[in-house]
Amino acid sequence: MTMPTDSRRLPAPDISYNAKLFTEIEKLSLLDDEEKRADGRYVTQPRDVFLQCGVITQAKGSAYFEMNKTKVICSVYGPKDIEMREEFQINKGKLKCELKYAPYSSPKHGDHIPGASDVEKSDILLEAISSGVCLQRYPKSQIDVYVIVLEDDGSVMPAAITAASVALVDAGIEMYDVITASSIRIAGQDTFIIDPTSSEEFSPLNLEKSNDLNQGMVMVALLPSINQVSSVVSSGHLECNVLQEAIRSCRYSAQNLHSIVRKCLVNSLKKILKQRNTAK
Amino acid sequence: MSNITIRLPSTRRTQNQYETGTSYLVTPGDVITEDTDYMRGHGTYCTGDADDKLYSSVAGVVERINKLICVRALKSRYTGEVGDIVVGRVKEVQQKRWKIETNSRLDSILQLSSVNLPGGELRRRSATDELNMRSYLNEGDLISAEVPQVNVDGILSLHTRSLRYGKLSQGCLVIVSPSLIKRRKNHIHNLSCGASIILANNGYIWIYTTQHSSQTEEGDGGFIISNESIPIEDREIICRLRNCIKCLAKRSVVLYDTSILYAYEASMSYKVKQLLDDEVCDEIVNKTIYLLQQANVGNSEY
Repeated sequence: MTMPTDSRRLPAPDISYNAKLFTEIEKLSLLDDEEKRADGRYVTQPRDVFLQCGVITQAKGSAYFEMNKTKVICSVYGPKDIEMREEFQINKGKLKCELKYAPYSSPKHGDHIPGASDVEKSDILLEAISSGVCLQRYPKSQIDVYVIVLEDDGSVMPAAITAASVALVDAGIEMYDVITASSIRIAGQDTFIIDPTSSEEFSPLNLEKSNDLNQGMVMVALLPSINQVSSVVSSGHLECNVLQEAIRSCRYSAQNLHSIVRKCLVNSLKKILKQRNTAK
Repeated sequence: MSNITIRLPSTRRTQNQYETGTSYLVTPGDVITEDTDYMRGHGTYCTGDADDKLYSSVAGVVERINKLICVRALKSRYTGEVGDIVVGRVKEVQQKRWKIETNSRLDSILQLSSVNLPGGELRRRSATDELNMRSYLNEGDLISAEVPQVNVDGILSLHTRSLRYGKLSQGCLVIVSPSLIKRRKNHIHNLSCGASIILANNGYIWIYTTQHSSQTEEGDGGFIISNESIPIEDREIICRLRNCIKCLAKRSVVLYDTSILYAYEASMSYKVKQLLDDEVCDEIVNKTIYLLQQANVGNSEY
């Protein structure tokens, strides 16, 4: 006879540790002797990007954004009738954002249930893109934005924000501007590492090399043509002047992304027009 | 051994083939003009600052009519007009009304008072009718209806007070872009190939078998679903029509009874499933366009 199983009890031992704790911690220094990073980039050099819209046929609008190993896909549905009556606003539309990590997105297998960090990231995404959308043009309606992170290798939030804005434009939703974003790892007062990978985002402090306590991350979302910032997220310990400088670098790098976003959108328009013209 | 089809990569187009150049394309945030003389139309906005530039708010083609500047988005939802015929799906049963999904920005409304109830005659709607609403139309049912009124906020009111409209029973739904449906006097056609078609203005196309004798009596109000089996030949006709419409929609040919019939005739030399191949699709569309042009030339001579 077997014992009845108790679903509330964890089958694992009471105390367990992550196996990674017992592996030797590599003393990563972010830059090598030639001022180059682990993947061969310079400090101010962002990764090459790939951007395409209209990848999901069922959605109203969609976009796929790739920066080397960071890959996100975004789909937009709507505008449609609002689902929850409590959130009803008579003169304004509602934007709903959801950011999810695919279970296979990172080396550690992800959870199916959205955790606190997923909810927080969804809120950051909502804040960054909602000021770009002309919501008063969509009274009583709701626009759904779903972002799935297919692979996570750092700088996920900027990728998600850019992809979401391209997907919104692809869906034909009225926007004040496209939104581009960029992030920076600050490792000391003079070292701004643009577009960090995940190992660069979380590399341990190497205090033997420098005693500078300015360590952190800054992410800026920008409306590039009207030059307004829609969202700033900073974490870590940063002095005021360092933060200012970091935001300036982020804006510059987000501005550079605008030409790529614009080119992608114009190309997709040309493609649709070309298909129509061949039929006439 | 099964047959294997090998196709040439003919549909792959390189980027520089898209360069048409003539039309002026913008994305959101682009400055259309710095001239303050122009009126701003759909798809544009201005900041209201001292520099009164006109910005675009959608990605699309700039269109100028005299002093009015609009940006036309290439993808748009259906915006209803009075007199349109729509096909929609029942989304919700509410008190004295149904909510219908019609590819529009907001859901459309079908009031209990604007349907024909069983019994035929016009009569007052009683509380029993209200309780029986789900037996007439349930969630997920497809209906065809007409738009008698568009409310100020863009919500469409629908009515089915005619024997032509009502619940749709057996057939095939094809969804295309609403801009492809040509506005005509009549949107319900009995095609000569043996099937009927509802080309609804909202881009929902319903293909069904022609009812030979007028089976819909006055009494049922159009809520009875006939579940008699449809012969295989009729089903093949419906499938062929569906694939033809998909082909035409893929290449953005305007859809109306003549264009669909021409495409149907052009497709007769192929099997139904072959119509899904890109090469066959291209050939049928080209043939249809040619036939349509011929017909236009013939008409203009007289």
